[in-house]
Amino acid sequence: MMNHFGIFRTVTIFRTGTILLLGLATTAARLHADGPLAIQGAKIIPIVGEPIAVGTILIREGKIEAIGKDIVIPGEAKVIDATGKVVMPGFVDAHNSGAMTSANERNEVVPFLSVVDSIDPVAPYFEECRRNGITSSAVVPGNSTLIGGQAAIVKTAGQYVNDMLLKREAGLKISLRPASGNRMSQLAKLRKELDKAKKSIEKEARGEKPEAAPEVKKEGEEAAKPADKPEGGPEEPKEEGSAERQPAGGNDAASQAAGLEALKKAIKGEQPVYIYCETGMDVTAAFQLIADYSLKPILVLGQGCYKAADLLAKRNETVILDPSLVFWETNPRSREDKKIILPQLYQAAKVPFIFQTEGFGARTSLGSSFFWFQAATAVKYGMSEKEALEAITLMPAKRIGIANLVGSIEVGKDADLVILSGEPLNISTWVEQTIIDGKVVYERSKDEKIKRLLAPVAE
Amino acid sequence: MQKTVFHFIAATILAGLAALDPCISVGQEKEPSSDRILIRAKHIYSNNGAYGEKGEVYICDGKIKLVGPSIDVPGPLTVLEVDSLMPGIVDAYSSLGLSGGTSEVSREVTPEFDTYSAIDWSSRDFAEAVDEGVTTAQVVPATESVFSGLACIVKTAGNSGERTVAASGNAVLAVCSDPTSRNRARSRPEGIYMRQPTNRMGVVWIIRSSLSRVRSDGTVDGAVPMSTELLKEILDGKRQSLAISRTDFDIRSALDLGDEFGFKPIIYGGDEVYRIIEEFKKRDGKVVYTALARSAASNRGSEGTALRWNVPGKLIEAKVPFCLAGESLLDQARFAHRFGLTHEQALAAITSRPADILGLSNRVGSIEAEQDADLVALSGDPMQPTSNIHWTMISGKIYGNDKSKQ
Repeated sequence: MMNHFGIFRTVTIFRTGTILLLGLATTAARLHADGPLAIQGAKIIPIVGEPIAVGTILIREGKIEAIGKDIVIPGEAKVIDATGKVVMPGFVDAHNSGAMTSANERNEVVPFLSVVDSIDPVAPYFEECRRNGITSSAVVPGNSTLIGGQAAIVKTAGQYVNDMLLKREAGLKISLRPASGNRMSQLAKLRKELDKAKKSIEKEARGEKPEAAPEVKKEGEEAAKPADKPEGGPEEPKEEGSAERQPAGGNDAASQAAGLEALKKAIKGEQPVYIYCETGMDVTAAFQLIADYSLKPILVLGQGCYKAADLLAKRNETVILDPSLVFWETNPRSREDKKIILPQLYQAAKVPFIFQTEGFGARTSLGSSFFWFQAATAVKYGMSEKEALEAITLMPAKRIGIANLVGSIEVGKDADLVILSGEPLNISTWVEQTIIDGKVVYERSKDEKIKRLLAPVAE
Repeated sequence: MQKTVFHFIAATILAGLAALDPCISVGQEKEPSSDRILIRAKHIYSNNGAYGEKGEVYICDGKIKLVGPSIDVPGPLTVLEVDSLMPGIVDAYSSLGLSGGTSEVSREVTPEFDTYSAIDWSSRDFAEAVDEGVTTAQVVPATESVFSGLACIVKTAGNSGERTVAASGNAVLAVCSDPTSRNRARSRPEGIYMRQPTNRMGVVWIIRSSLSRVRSDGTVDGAVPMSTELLKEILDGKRQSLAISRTDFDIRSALDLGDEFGFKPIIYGGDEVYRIIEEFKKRDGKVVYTALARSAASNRGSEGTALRWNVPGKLIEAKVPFCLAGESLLDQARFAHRFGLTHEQALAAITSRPADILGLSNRVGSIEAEQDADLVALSGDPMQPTSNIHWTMISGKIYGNDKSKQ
């Protein structure tokens, strides 16, 4: 709490910087948006297919038109000389709340809400994404919830949220970690909501008219009382049994109907469900829910879930790991200390996984804020570099259903690229340029914030 | 890692030394000796000799005896082959083994509180430290009281009697806003909850008034005689003091108090030292920089200092003595390297530099003869995030040699 002044100060600088940068980027993009763009002389790691030692990527109208050793560059193309550099597909963030002004609504059952209404295009999160080579991000409500609303997938550059949107109804967020009360009531409440939706679908199938959502008394009063507490990050402390939890318009008929629709889509498999499991026991509960309601899950795993690694292996679906990849546990009975290395454990259990970052907040360690560092950590504990790079590009793209557009450098895919100063997992490598839809959205040479951080002077 | 027993029978130049040093005698035993170890490394990273080159280190009775490109030692010994070898990491600012509250909150002047007697030697902290390659650590009390207590210096593993490097060490002064946290300015003076200082002026005042009372042969209010004795030691220059200060004005206050009373505190924290770097240099400041540590943000309290990445680069440029400290030190060094330090500078910032600042450079912090055999073996270049620690050696004993890591 006491850090707020500091954060506020920094945020202000960020925002001014972003607006300036965005301004520059959009102008620059418009100048050559019509013509083709070629990136020449770089080592290319396309993720699909073998790396090309020195190659060219040709981009036209925001798409990759050609990639290879001997590509003829059209005369009218703008050329980026990337000799000695390494080009990769932009990184894909499969689970993050950093773009939202607040990760969770106070009310814990809000399936009708969409993160689209909460995404701030000038949030420092997006600036950090471009600075660190992240070009697509699934913005998902935080874990302090029950049914937390609907996720959306965005590109990480744009002036308005609609310019950035790749997918609107990208997944319903469910958390099995009790937001209030205990696990029994969390699951009971969850099942009650899912049952409503299931019954509604069954009625429809029988040709009955779905019942109208129940009218709620004091509707006017509720509407006049919006949930006005904006705080509450992903790790917001859980409040026990607060009677004051009133939804942001959640009791009115329209919200109820919209919420029911969202849940029905989840049960029909038209929208995936992000299920956050905190511990191993949550994994079992999640599997029961998946079976009972035929959900299409994207599992987001807390630290303790490694204990259910064998169960997870049977599903053979890519899971999203906790941002703290390495931590210690003490057995409460034997007092035995144990170092838990998540990438190593999941690899041994043959569970495919992708990473999260801890966000760019003030309280995180330097390392786990970066996808390249997470990938390097997996390599440190035995993963091959090839697999680790796939786990920050193509695998998350597949997991969130956008691999037809992004995640690898292939002809026809979006030109979302990152030009690195060297090998991707080397400590001294920096993102030189980030390109989204064929437009340069970040250039290190123009990054004033990096300059300030690396050459500290009194202001 | 391979363990092989070599019996060198051929006479070497070292044979001449045999009579002088029992460590270099022609061995008669048949069994490999765990006290005599030869490490063959593809790369040795230490501030002396050929940095990053192939080399060998001979260890006997917990001490490094010889370092060179190739060493012939006769007699039975354990041979270890490693990729990269670096000195054990020295953490100048840790709270290893201190569980629960680590500073007294009932009084402001408690210089006699010693961390050494509060250490839980079987704490998980030590296992984690060894796992991260930390072999020596200064344990510093928390900063809720103005004179917080005495730091101590310990090895992170070993037999209990051998782990102590300095039981009664540096005196800790909190020259920052930390001691005011929880104290409310508007509570009634007669209330039992009334505590000073309630603001930063009060912090400086408590230091100044305590020291001036001691200087004029008085005693400090409510303090035991031992307190007074310790404050005298600070004033007489017999005991090194360290000041926890992060903002530029706190750092200045600490140096000013030192000038006023004739002592030289070493600055711990130092987030904003870059703002006053010329002045800091002129005043012979030394800094233990902790802002790259994970907990740095939460340590900052109400001060809200802005993060700057390459303050270490600035300190080296100005030739100010400094080191990195706090948790995840190897990663801190890696990032310091990323942000501008050379490979060698970054490695020194967690090994030889902290050893210098703690006055232990004759004993730890580099790979050379007569140093403690505190070493870290890695799977590759220590500055790369993909390199893993294979084992940590403390006084010639190997810890954390986990087969699953190899």
